[in-house]
Amino acid sequence: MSAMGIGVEMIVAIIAAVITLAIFSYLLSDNLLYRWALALLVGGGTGFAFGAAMHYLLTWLEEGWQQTSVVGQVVYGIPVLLGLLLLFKSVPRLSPLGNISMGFVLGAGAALALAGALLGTLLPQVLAMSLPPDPTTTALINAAIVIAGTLAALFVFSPMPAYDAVEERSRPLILWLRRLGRGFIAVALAVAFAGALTTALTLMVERLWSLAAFFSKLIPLLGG
Amino acid sequence: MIRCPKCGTVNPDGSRFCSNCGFKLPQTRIRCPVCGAYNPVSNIYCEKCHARLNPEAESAEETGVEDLISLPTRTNGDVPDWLRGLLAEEELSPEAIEEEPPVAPAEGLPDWLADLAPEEPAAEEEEAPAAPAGEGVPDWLADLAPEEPAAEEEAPAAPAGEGVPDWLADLAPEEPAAEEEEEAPAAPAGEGVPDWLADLAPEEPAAEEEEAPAAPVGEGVPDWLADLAPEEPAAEEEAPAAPAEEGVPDWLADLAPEEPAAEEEAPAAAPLEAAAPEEPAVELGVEEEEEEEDEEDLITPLPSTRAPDEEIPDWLKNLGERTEDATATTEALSQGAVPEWLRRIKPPGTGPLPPLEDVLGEVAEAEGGPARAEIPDWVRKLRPSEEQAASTPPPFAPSAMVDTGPLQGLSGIIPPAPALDAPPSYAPETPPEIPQTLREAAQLWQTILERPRGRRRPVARRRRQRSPWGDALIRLATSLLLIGVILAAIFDLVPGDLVGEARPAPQIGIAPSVEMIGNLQPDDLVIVAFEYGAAQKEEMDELSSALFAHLMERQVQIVAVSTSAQGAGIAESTLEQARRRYPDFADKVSNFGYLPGDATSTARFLATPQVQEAKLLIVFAADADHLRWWVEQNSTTAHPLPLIAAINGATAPLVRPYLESNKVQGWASGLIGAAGYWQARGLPLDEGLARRLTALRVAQWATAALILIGSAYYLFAGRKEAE
Repeated sequence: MSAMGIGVEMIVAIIAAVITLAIFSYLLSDNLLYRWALALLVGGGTGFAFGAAMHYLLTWLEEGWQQTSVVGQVVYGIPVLLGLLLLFKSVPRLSPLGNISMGFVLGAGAALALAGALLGTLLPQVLAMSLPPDPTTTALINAAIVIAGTLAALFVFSPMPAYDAVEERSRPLILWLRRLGRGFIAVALAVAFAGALTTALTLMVERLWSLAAFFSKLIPLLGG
Repeated sequence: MIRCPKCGTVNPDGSRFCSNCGFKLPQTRIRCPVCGAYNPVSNIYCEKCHARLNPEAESAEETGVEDLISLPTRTNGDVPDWLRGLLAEEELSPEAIEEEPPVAPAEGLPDWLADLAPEEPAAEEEEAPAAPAGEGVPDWLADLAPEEPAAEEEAPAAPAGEGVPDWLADLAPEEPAAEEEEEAPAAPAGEGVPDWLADLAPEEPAAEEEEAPAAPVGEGVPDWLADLAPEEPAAEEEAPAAPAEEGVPDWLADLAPEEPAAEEEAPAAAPLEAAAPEEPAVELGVEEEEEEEDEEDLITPLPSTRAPDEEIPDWLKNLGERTEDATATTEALSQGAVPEWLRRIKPPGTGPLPPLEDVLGEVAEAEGGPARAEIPDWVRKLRPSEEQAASTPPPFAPSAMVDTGPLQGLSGIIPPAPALDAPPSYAPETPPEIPQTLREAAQLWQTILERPRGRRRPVARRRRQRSPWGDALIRLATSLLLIGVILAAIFDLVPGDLVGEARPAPQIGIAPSVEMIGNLQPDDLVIVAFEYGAAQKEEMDELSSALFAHLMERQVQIVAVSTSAQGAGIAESTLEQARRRYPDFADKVSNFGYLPGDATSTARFLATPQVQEAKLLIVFAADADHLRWWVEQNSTTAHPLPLIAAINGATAPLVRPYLESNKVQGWASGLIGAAGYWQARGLPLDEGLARRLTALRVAQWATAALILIGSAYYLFAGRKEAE
C-alpha cells in the first residue's frame, strides 16, 4: 500500500470519524455539529443521485444521437419528447403540456403494479395460506393463528359509533375479539420495532467498530 | 310547487296565498273557468274539459256568440227571487224607464256597441259623427251590420282604441291614430276607477262637453258604478237627457259616441239583452287574478231594465232568428254565470240552510280557496282520529233556540264557544315518524345523562415539568451504556462465559441460498441488484461480502444493477472490492448501472433476453418496496428467475411473506444473516465479524434491559407521578 493510498484512507477515515462523532453529539442535544453532519449526509446523497441520473441520461442521449435508423431515432425520440414536455410542469401556465408525460408514466406504472401485485403478492400469499392435503399440526396452528389474527385485527378497525362502548359491555365476544386483535397488532408492531432496532444497533456496532479501527490506526501514528 | 316571494315558503301548486305568511302568490297555473282544473301556463285548452283557457288569444272567427256573451245580460227571470229583490233596490223601476223618452241608439250602448250601429241613411251619415262600424268592433259584428257604406270622411272617428280594452282595440281597423287624438281628446279618468275602466272612459271633444247638460247619473245604476262614472255627460243638445243612461251604467253611457241631432231619428238602442250576446265578452283572462273574476260575478247579475222593443235597433231586429238565438244563449249562459253555490244560498228564512261544510267546500272550490292539499302533512297528522271525532260533539251544531241574551228567541244560532274551544285531544292518529339518527342521538344523550355523577372524568394529564438537562442526562446515560457495552464486546472485554460463543441465530432461507449459489456453474449469469444507500451500507456490506465471496468462488458472471442512484454507486464500490479481492475473475464482473423508472425499469430489464438467460437473481435491499418491485416483476416474466433476498434487519419482518409464499427462494438478513451464511458454508467466522456479532448480541440484551427498566419505572413510579 503506497504512502499516497495510506494518506487517502486516513483522510477518509478522519472525515468519517468526525462525521460520526458529530452525529453522536445529538445524544447531548440538537446542535450545530449534528445539523452539519445531517446536511452533509443528505446533500451528499442527493448530489450523488443527481450525478448518477445525469450520467445515465447523457449516456442514453448519446446512444440515441448515434442512431442512424429511423426506427432507432423514433424509439429514442419519443422519450426525449415526453421528457421535454415534462419540463413544462415547472411553468404553471404551460404545466398542462406535461400531463401527457405524467399520464404515460402513471398509466404504465399502474398497469405494471396491478399485474405484479396480483401475480407476485396477492395470489401467492393467498395460496401460501392454503393448507396442504395432509396438514401437519404446525401448519394447522400456523393457519389458525393467521386467521384469528386477521379477523381479530379487523374487529379492532371495524367502524363503529363511539357510543357503542356502552353496548360493548353487553357483547363480551366482541370485546374479547377486539382485545385479541389489539394483542396481535401489538405483536406485529413489536416485531417490526425489533427489526428496526436490530438494524440500528447493527449500524451502531459497525460505526463503533470503524471508529475503533480508526483510532487503533491513529494512535500508533500519533504515538509512534 | 310555488315558492313564496316574501317568506320563501314552498306552497303546493295552485295555491293562491302563502300558507305561512298569507302573501299573495304568483300564479303558475291557469285555472279553467269551466271545470276549475289547473293547467300549465302554456296550455290554451284545459287538459280536463278542453275548454278554452285564454280567450284573449281567440280570434273572432273561433269564438262563438255564446262565448262572447257579456256579463250584464242577466234577466230577472234568471235570478232567484230573493236575489232579484236585492238587485231591484239598485235598479230603476220599470215605470221610470217607460216614462223616459226614446233613447238614441248610442246612448244605451257603449261606444263600441254604438259603433256597431247600422249604417244610417246617407243624409244622416253626413251629420252623424258616428264612428265607422268597423272601428273597435270584431269582425263578426261588423259582418252583422248592414252593408251600407259609412260616412267615414265626416265621422269624428270615435277613438275606439282608447275606449276599449287592448284586445278590442287591436281588432279595430287601422286608422291613423293622430286624427283620433286630435278630434277626441282623452277625458280624465275618474278617481278610484280601475285602470281598465278608466281606459274605457270616452274621449269626448271639449266643446261637446261644454254644450252637453249634466245628465242624471245613477238613477238606474248602482251607486258604486255611478261613482265610477266620468263626470262628462254624453248627451248633446239635440239629445238632452239621454234616458238610456238610466238603464245603462253611466260608464257605458259615457262610452257612447257624440251623436248629432239627426241621431234622434236613428233606430232605438238595442236592448241589452239583444246586444249583449254580440258584445265581446268582458271575461277576464284566466291568467288574471281571481278577484277580478269575482268582480265580474258581481257585475253579471245586473239585469237590464230596457224593454226589448224599445232598444232593439232595426238592423238588429232584421236579424230575426239571430237575435232569438242570441237571446236563448244569453239565458243559458246567464244561468251559468251565477255560481251554483250562490244559487243555493237562500236568504234567511226562505228555506233550510245547506250544511255548512258543503257550502264551505263549494265556496272553496268555486273561489279557489285553500285546498286540502295546502295543509302541511305534519298538521294533517295531528288531526284527531275518526274515533275521537265521532266522540266529539260537532263544534258548529246550531242550537235549538237561544234562551237568553240579545238573541233570545232566535233559533239556528251557531254557538261560538264550541268553535273556539280546543279539541278535547290532540293525540294524532299515527305518531310522527322519527328518523333513526334522532333516536340514536336521543339514546346517547339519555345514556350520558343517566351516567352516575360520582365517576371520575378523564382529564388531560399534565406532565410534570422536567428540566431539559434531565432528559439529556437520561438520553446520554442510555447512549453511554450502549456504547460502553458495544466497545467492551469489540475489544473483547466481556467475559466469554457471559455472552457465550458467537453463533448466529439460525435463519430460514440461508441454507437454500447457499445451495442455489453452490449449484451455479462457471460463467453462469447472475443478476445482482443493489437497492440500498449509504446509510445502510455498513450493514449490507457484510451480506454482500459473504455472498460475493461465494459467487466469485463459483466463477460466475455477475451483472450489477440498481434502480436507485445511490445503489448504482454502491454497486460499483462493491464490485471494485470484489475485483481487488479476486483479480483473476475481475473481467467477469460488470456494472449495468442505474435503471431509472422503479418498477417499470425493473420489468423492462427482466424482460430482456439476456437477463432471461440468467441463472440467479440476488437482490440486496434495505427497504421493502425495492424488493417488492423485483419480486413482483420477476413473477410476471415468462421464466421467473430464482431469487435470493439479502436484506437488512429492519426490512426482514416486512418481506417475510414472500419467503413463505416461495416467491423468494433464498434469504439472508442483516449481520446475523451474514454470519449465518458463513457458518452455513462451513467456514469459520472472521474475528472481526465474530466480535461485532457479539457486540450486537450484547447491545440487544442491554437494550432489552433498558426497555424493561423503563417499563417498570413507568408502571410503578412514573404512573404515580402522572396521576
